[in-house]
Amino acid sequence: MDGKKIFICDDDAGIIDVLKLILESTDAEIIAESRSARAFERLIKEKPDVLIVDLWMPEVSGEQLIHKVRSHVELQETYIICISASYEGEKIATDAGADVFLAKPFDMNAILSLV
Amino acid sequence: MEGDRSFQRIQQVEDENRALRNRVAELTDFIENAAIPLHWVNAEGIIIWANQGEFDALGYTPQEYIGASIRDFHADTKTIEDILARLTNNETLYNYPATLRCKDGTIKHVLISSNVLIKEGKFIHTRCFTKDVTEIIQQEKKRNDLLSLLERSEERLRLAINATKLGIWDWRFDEEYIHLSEEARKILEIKEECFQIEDILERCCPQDIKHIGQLTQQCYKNARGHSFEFTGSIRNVEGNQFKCIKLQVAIYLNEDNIPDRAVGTILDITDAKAEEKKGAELAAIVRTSYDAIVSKSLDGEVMTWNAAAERMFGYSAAEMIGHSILKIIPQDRTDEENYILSRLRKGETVEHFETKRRMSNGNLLDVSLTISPIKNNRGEIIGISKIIRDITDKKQEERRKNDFISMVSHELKTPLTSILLYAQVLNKKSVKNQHIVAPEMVKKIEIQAKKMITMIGDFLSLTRLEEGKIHLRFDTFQLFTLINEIVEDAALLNVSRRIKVVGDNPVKIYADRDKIGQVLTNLVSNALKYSPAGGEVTIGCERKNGKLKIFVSDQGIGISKAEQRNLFQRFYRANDEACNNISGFGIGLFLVSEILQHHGSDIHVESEKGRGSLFFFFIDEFRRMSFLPE
Repeated sequence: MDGKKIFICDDDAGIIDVLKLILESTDAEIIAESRSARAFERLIKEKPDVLIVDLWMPEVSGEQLIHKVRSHVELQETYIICISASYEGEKIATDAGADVFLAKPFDMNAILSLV
Repeated sequence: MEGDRSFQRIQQVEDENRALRNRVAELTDFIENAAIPLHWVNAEGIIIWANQGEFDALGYTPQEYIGASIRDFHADTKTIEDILARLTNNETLYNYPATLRCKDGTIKHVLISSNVLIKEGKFIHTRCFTKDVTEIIQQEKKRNDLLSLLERSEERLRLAINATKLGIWDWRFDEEYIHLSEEARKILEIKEECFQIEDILERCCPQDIKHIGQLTQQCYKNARGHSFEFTGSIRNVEGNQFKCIKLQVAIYLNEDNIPDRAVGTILDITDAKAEEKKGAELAAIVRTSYDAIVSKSLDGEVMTWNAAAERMFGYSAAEMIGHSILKIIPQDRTDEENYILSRLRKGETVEHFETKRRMSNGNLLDVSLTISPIKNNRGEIIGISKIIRDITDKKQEERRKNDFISMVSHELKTPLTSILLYAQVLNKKSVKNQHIVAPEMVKKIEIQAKKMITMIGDFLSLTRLEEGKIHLRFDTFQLFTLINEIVEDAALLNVSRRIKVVGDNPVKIYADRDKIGQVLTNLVSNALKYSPAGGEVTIGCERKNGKLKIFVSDQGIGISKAEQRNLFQRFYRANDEACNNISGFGIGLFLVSEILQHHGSDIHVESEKGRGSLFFFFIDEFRRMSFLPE
């Protein structure tokens, strides 16, 4: 995991905090953004290896963000993990271009193994 | 002179002789040709003489009749023997009834008057007069027949009147009393056959008396003919109850055109009036009901359609009665009718059956149906009555509630995710740092968080089911891997009860893993909840009739037969003091049942109060030869 960059985008600060805490143990670089409207700009700049994104967010939804990422030339390689509390989220996320869907609530080990 | 005198004497004797001969000839003629039949019979009963009247009456010639035995002409042997015996005894008979056989075969009824000429103690012959009474007897018989016919007809009339419970009365105005038939006495509760009008007037309503008076007056004036009908009421003898009666009155007038007699009938119509009232009340209920009330034949032809049905569906009664009920059933729900009919045939009623019906404008309406059979007096089902309630508002309310539950559950999931993850991180760290108490406490936080997650999962499944949004994701998986995961989680929550897994052969099934997991989690957590501390819960599976029987059993408090029926209903909780401190929403077993139904299976329970319970269901085992992907 060394040298990898993980970008977390979730409007819930609690999730960002705990994900940071979990993922710190992987020695990856963690970047977090709670405002989805700012996320895309930062993603282009950071070009993370992994994007963990919530589906339901105000301003720009996770679905819209995944679409944008997938259509950007420089972000094609980004591994997208979509997290959501909704059952229907899986189809929306994978249709938009996410690599994997993780339903809330999930186990620490689940996210660790994916990353 | 002497010679003259002698000649005169001879002349006189000759004259006398002539006169005597004439007299004999006249008498002989009188007897021979008398209109009354006469005959003589000797001591042996042989006819020795008969007049023309006798021959004419019976139709025989003198050759056939004279010299024959009188016995041969009597139709009744006993009678002639008695007559002959009496005459031999020197009795005189007057109008002794007998029957004689005529030559043409007919029988004549006669009255015989006879006595015997006896000379010097010797039976010479009888002197027998025969009076033909055939016509009188026949007329009498005819009259008797008519009388008995009349009696029978009267009896029939009486029976008919009795059957109608119709009382009859007769009042001659010049008499003080009114005559009553038995039934009339019964109706008026009067013991005597006659009664004074005053006895009854005091039990009548003043308005009724006035009304009858007016009607009678009109009769006097012949304004309304000579008869009228009247319905009123009369108090019973105790004076505490009213009887409804119907009177038919016919007034008769005398030669001076003055009424002198009233005859009529009286009928107790209290029951009919009560029925009429009840019928009217029921009709009013149906008419004013907010719910649609309709009835239809077994062929689905609408028979009645109330005002609420008109409002609800937009079809008038005229547009529906005689037409098929299918008019309001959406095409994809026509099978419901067969289902309902099959349940009614089994003697069941269908209550609160929620479905949709089509209105005249084509829109669908959410309705709840309560359906019951209409039976004839032999108990055969001849039709179906339906009460249809518009549940649009209720459904909207349900949708709003479900949306709310969904939203709340979703919102709860995010903070729960944080709690769960923090607990897991903390656990990992405290184990690493060799804390003594922290790992245990943190584990408990994790367990409680997972419990909440299960509950939220159940709620969301429930709302999905209600909205018809449940979608299964079928997959092939190892049953025992799932069982072990569930047992592991459950064991964490319940340290005081043991969970035993029976059978550990690799068994694969093709189902929705999460949903079957939800089924097993609910069954195991129930088994643990209702088991005493130290009790054992068993989960496992066995092959039975080519299927897998998956079961969960406990040694808990058990479930009564009555409760077993309601067990799988939404929000049902066992009504038992022993369960009062056991938490839950009553949705677990409802979900179990619904999820299994979506898998084409059913949940079964065997239980006895105080002996524990066994829950089980059957599911197909996945086999390699199956076309389904592994």
